[in-house]
Parts: sequence; C-alpha cells; structure tokens
Amino acid sequence: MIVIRNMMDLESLRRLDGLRGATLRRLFGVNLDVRLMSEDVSIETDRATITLWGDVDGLGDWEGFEGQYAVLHIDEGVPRIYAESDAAAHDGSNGHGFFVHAGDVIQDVSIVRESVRKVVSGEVEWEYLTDTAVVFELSNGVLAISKAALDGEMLNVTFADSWDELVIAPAGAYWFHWNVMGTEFVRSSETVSVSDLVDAQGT
Amino acid sequence: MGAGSGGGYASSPSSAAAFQRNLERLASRFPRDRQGRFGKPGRRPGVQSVRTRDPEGTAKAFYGTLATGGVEKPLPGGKGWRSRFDDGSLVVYRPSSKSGSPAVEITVNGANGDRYKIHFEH
Repeated sequence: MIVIRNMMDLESLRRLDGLRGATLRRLFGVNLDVRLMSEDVSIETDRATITLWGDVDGLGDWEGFEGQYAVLHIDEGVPRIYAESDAAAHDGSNGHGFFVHAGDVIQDVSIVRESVRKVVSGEVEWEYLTDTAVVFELSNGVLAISKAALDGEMLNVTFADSWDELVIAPAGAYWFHWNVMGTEFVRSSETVSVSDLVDAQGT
Repeated sequence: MGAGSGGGYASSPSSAAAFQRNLERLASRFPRDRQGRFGKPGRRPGVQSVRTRDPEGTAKAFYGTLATGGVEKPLPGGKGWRSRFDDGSLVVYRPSSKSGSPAVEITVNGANGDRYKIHFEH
C-alpha cells in the first residue's frame, strides 16, 4: 500500500505553537471577504502575525497521472503571494479585517489531520494523509482555518463558542465525485495538539 | 480578468442564481456528457476534455462566462483566477496546467453538487 504524507513541517508547527499565550487582534487577508473564505488568512496577535495560505502541488504525481493536492503554508508576517495585488496586501496590513474574538488569548493550537484511503474491490490501494485544519482554542471560543478542498487553494474560516459547537465543513475533492464501480474513498480524521507534535518532532 | 465583480467584498445576493444561468448559457455552446459535465471524459475520473483549435482563447472565454456574477480574485503565485458564488460554488481558471493546457475547475455546491476539471486541448 502506498502512503503519501502531505503535512506541515516542523518550522510551520513551531510558528503555530509560538502563538500560544498571545492575544488575538484581528484576522485579515488579501482575498478574505465577508463569507470568510480566502486563499490567504493572516492572524495578527500582540506577539506576531502569521499567514496561512493555500497552494496546490502535484506531489510527484503519485497517483500515476497529473494530480493536484492542497498544501497549507504557514508563513511569518504577510508574504507577497499574489502576483497582481501587492497593493491589496498593503491594505490587509492597514487596519482592516475581522475583529471577532479580538482580545481573546490563544490558549492552545491543534491540527486536524485527515486520512483518505482509496479502496478498490476491498483492497486499500493507497492512503493519503494531510493536515486539513488549524484550530485555535481561544479564551472565549474557537477559531478554525480549514482547507475548503483537498485539491484547491481555498480556505474556510470558522468561529464557534466552544469546541463542542465547532463544525468544520469537510474538505471536498475530485475523489468524492468519482463514479467508478468497485472503488470507494474512505476518510477519517483526528485532532492532534501542535505542542505535542513539536515536542515529538523537535527532539 | 474582469469577468466578475472582483475587488468587492461580497457578491450580490443572487450570485448563486447567476452561476446557474452561466452554466445554462455555456450548455448551448459546449455539449455536456451523461453526468451533466462539460466536455468529454478525460484520461482519469474527475477530468474532462474539450477539444478546440484555440485552447487558450476558448478556456479564457469559458471561464469568463462562468465567472460572471461571482467574486473574482487572483490565485496565489500568479497561477490564475477564481470566482466564488454565494452558495460556495467555485470556478478556477489556470491558464497553464502541468500538462501545458489551460484548465477550468468547476465546483458546484448544493444537493446535486459536483467537482471536476476541464482541460482545453488541441
């Protein structure tokens, strides 16, 4: 069975972990609109600003043909990721944005890690493992930034009053619209603490 | 691209309806297969193919029609453009895919949702 891993690297995990204890100021993004969907989402805190942004990569075309898989980047500050909108990027760092839960302290950060298995005639052909969401536990709620799709750049922003009330829309993918007899795609997920991942990988 | 309402903060309340109209408008020029997808089934599931003498021009015009009425924004890395509609439906235009041909990705949200990519090829 082929196992493909498309997960955040240690540096990205450390950036997320570094926000524990920081105070949230606002969210903004060059493409972020009132629907809270965007290819880029910047989180400004009293300690640092980081940007989560979506990209696609072929990952070596491991399925045997031209593939396209969502990659979640975590960068410091506001990277210039748009070829034609540097001005908009400046606007994003200019006081605009969303102030939901501003003033809340980021108490913990977790990652939702998803597995998709391709099962053909009862046999697992491959397993694809990827990080689909980052969840910030705030002093008065929860903030999640998640992939809208496993094969696209778009990200969703979701707020909830508590973990129990948090509903992250499942990421779409071409796989789940295939209509091939005898083939199914089975998905599952787990939530893991970023600090645990940093401890495990950083030592 | 200028096909949609790009640059605004929200699409109009009827943008999901506009997306449906765009689909119908394209159906008169581009035949659909048995699944209701534009083009013919390609080399892999989830990928369709449209043969044309002018792949770049046809893909651009196809996207331009389908994107009308949505919120249009550039993709990171200068990889193309996308237009998003009220109901979450999404159209992505990549002028150059890895195979070299331009591609349009369509995500239709809702009860009869679908998600596929169209390569425009010679």
